[in-house]
Amino acid sequence: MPHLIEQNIDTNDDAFLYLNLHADEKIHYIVRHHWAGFLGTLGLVLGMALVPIVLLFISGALLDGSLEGAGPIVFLFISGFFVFLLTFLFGSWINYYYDIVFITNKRILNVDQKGLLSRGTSELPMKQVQNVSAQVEGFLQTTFNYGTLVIETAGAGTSDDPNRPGLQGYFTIHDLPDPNRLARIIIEFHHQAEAEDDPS
Amino acid sequence: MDFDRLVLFGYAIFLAVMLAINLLYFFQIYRYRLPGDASIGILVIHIILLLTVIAGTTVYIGAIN
Repeated sequence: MPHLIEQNIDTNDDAFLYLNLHADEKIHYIVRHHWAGFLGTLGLVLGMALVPIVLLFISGALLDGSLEGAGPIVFLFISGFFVFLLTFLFGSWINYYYDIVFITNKRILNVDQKGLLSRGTSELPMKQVQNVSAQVEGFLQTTFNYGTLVIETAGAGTSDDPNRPGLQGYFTIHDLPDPNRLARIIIEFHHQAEAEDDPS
Repeated sequence: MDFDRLVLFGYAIFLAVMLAINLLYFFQIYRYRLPGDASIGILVIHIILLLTVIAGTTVYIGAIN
């Protein structure tokens, strides 16, 4: 899935200003969450879109066309419902697509889109990485090769796992593509950062 | 007739709220999109779908009045 992990990034673009990159810092990978993690929301919206159609079909069959008089009002209600669903889907897509992990030679930056105009950025210096593990669980994750990346740190960590909020010492990031490859990449950058600090 | 107007007014208010929320989402994309990402493509698809629903409703309402 090459489109999920981007390389050769021009960090001079204004879009990267908010990351406050250091002078000698270069973004090597931009990682977005795997699309399969969005399938649940997409399925929910498609299911909800079917509800008024099914209800109309059942009502029409049961009431034998007695909805005819209320036609325009029902039509407006359904139209509004679809506008709401489209807006909800678009907002959910932004929440999914704008959760981004930047891997630089100095840090791991995890940008967490939390909703309308709300973003959180947590960062972890490469030097503080102690251990990186990848978890691929279940049929979907095994089939599409995505999963959870758990980075053990020397400092305070963060977690987007609702069962383990604010877990100290761990960075937990869900639904990342090819987590084993990402784990290897992070370990390599960690070794580089250590070597730069201790050239002997 | 008054009831119809009330319903249409309610629908117009609802559309205005949805439009405001969508404008905030557009601003978010304008502010945070990265070069070469899929944001603009998805945004165009979203706008086309929204306009299809709204235009279809407008044509229907116009046809029955």
